[in-house]
Amino acid sequence: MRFEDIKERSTSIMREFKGQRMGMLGFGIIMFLLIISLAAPWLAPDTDGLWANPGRWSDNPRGAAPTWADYILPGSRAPHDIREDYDEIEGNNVISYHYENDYDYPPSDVTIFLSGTSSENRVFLYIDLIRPDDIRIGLVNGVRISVENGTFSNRFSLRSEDGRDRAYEFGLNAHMEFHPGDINPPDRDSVNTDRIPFAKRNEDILLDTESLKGTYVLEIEVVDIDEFEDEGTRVLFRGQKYGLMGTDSSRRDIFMGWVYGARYALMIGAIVSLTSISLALLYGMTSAFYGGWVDEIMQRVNEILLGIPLFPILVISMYVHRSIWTFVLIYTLLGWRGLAKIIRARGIQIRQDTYIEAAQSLGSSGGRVITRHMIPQLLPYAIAEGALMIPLIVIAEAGLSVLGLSDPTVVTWGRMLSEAYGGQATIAGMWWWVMLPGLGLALLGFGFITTGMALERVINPKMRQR
Amino acid sequence: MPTSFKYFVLRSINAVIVLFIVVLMIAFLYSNMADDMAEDRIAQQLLAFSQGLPEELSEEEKEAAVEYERNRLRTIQGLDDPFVEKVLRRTWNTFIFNLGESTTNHNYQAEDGFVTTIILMYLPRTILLFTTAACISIFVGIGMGLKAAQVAGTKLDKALSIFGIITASLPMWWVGMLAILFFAYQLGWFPASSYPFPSKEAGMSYYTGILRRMAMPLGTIVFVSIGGRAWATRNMVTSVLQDDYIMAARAKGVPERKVIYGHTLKTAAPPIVTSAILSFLLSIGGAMITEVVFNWPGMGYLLRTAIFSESDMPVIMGLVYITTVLWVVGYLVADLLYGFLDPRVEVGAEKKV
Repeated sequence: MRFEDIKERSTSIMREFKGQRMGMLGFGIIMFLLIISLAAPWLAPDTDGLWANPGRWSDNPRGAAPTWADYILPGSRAPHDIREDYDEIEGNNVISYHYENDYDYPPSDVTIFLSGTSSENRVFLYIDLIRPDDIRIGLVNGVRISVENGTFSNRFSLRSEDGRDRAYEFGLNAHMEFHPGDINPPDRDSVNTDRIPFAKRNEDILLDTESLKGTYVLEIEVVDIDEFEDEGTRVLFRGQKYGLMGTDSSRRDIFMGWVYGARYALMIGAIVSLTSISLALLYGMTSAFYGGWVDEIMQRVNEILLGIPLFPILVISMYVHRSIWTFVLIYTLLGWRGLAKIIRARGIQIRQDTYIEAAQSLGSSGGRVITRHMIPQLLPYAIAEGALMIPLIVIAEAGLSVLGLSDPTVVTWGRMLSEAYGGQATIAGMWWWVMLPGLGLALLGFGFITTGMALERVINPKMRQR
Repeated sequence: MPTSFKYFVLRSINAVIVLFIVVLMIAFLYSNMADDMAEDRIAQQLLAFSQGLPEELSEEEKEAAVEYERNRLRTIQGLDDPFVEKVLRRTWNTFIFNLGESTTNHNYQAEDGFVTTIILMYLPRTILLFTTAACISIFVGIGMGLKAAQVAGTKLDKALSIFGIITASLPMWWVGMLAILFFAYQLGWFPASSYPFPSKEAGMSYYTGILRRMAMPLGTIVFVSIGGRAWATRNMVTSVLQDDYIMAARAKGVPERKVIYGHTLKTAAPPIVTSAILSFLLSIGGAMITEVVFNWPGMGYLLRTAIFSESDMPVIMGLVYITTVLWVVGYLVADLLYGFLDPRVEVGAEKKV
C-alpha cells in the first residue's frame, strides 16, 4: 500500500466518521480531555508530585463543596475569603477585620496569621470576635508570645484545641441559659464547635446551629507591638465552597487533581493501547502470513496466554512495585492477546488477496509484505479496537488504586476515589469528592467507546446493517 | 463419545498448564520481596533469641549461639538456595495450596492464622454475592437482549443499546459509591456499610441482615453488567438473523417467536453463553473492588485489608492464587460448555467466538 492510498483511505474514513453523531460526540469528549490534560501545568500549578504534601494545600478550606453547589442545593455557602489587608487600625496595636456573613453555612474556620516587630522580648496577644448581636467572644486572652531578633509570628485557628474550647464555652454558656438545670449537657467532643461562633444564640446552639447573619468584627490586639508586618499578617475566612470542584478532607483542590487525573489517564491509556495494538498486529499478521507450523505454534502459545487472568497478575506486580510503569508494562504484556487472535483471522483472509500474491511474486520479502501491505489494511480496525481498550485500561488502574495499589507519586482519578473511600466521603455526604473524579472516568469511557464503535461501523460496513 | 472426552481431557490439561505458568510468573515476581520479608522475620526471631540466652555465657559464646541459630533458621527457610530453586519451591507450594501463615491475624477474625483458613472464611461471601449477581445478570440480560433483537431498530432497542454502552463504560465500584451516597446517605434505605457483618448466632436476623447488606452491592453489580450483556446478546442474535436460513424460515412463514427461540438461538447460543461466562469472569476484579466500597467482607475486602493496614504478603499471595484458580476453572467451564453446545467444535479446530 502506498502512502497516497493510506492518505486516501484515511480521508474517506474521516469523512464517513463525521456522519456518525455519537462518534462525533465521543470524539469531542476525547478532545476536551486532551486539551485539559495538555493545559494541566497551567490549570493546576504545583500539583504534580505535591498531591501528598499538606503544605501545598494549607490555605484551602477543608471539605468545601464546589462553588456551583449554591445553584443546585438549598442554602448559601460562605465563599473562601483570604484577607491580606486589615480593615481598620487603632493606634499601632489593634487591627480589625470586618466580615459580612450573609450565608446559611458560615465560614468553616477562621485562621489568623500574625507577624510583627517589637522592641520588647515578648508581646501579649488578644483576639476577640464581636458578633452582630454585640456579644464579644474572647478567643485569645493575653497569650504571651516571645520575640526573637525584634520580630514575632503567631498562628491561631478556630479549629485549634484552644479555639474549640473558646467556642464550646460560649455555646455552653448559652445552652445553660436556655436549659437551666441541664445536668448533663453535651460535651465538647460530641459537638461540632466550628459553627458555634457564627450561630444564633438560641436553645439549639450546641446541637443544631443556625447561622447568625450580619457583620462580624475580628479584633486583634497585640500589646507592646511596634508594627504589624504586612507580609505575614493575614486572615483566612475558610469557605464552605471552593473552586470548580471543591476540596477534599485534606484541603486539596479536587479540580487540580482532576486535571492531572485526566492527563495520567490519557497517558496510561494511550501508551498501553498503542503498544498493545502494535504487538497484536505484528503477532497476528506474522502468524497469518507464514501459516503452517509457525501459525500452529503461535496460536497454541496465544491460547495459553489467553487463559492467563490479568487482574491477579496486576495485583501482585503492583504490590511488588507500586508505579504506573509497572501497570503499563504488565498490562501491555497481556493486553494484546485477544486482539492478536482476531487480527490473525482477518489476516488469513487478506493473505489470499491477489495483490499480496503480486507483491510476493515481484520479490517482496515477508517482512515487507507484512509491514507495507497487510498491516495498513487492518490498521484502522486495530485503531478502533485500541480506542475501545482505553476505558478498560484506565478503569483497571483506578480499581487497583481503590485496593490501595496506586503509584504514590502521581495523582489519578482512581487515587482520588480511593482517598474518598478512605476519607468516608460517601458516608459523610461529600458527594463532589466521589462524583467528580468518577465522572472523569465515565466521560473518558463514554468518549472512547462511542468513538471506537463509530470507527468500527465506518470501517466494517457489514455492521451497519445491524 | 470419545472425541468429546478427548476434548475434555486436553482442555483440562491446558488449564493446569496455564495455572502452573501463572503461579510461576507470580512466584518469580514476588520472590525477592518474600525473601526480604523472611529476612526481617529472622532478624526479629534472632533478637528474641539473643535476649533469651542465659546470662552466664560470655560474649563470644553468645555470638556463636546467635550465628548458629541464624544459619539454622536460614536453612529452614531455604534463603541461601539459588534463585531458581526458591522460585520453583514457592511455585510448587502455592500450587498445592500450601499457602503458609498470615504474618498478622488479629484483624481477620479467623480461627487461626493459616491463609487457607482466612480465605475460606471470606470466600463464601464473595461467591454468594458474585454468583447471585451473575445468575440474575446473565438470565435477565440475555432475556432483554433477545427482546431487543426481536424489536431491532425501534426506540426500545435503541434505548437499551445506549443504556448498555453507557453502563459498560462505568467503573462498577464507582456506581456503588454513588449508590451509597444516594440510597444510604440521602434516603437512608440501606446500611452504608456491611460492617459489622451479622453473626450466625443471631438466628433469623442473620439472614435478613445479610439480605439488607447485600441489596446494594448486588443491585450495583447487576445494574452495571446487565445492559452490556443484553447489548452483546442482541448483537449476536441480530447477526445470525441475517443468515440465509433464517430468511428461508421467515419466507416459509415460521412464526417470528419460533424463528428467534428455535432457529436463531440454536446457532447463537454457544457464543452467547460462553461470552456471558467470560465477561463475568473478567468482572471478578471489578466485583472485588465493589466489595471494598460496600465493606462487604469478601475476598476483595480482605485484599484491601491485607494490602492497606497489614501489608500481609502470604494473604495477598493466597488471594491472588485463589482468584487465578477461579478464573482458570471458569475459563475451562466456558470452554467445555462451548464444545458441549456446539458439537462441531473439536480439539484444535478454529472457534469463532
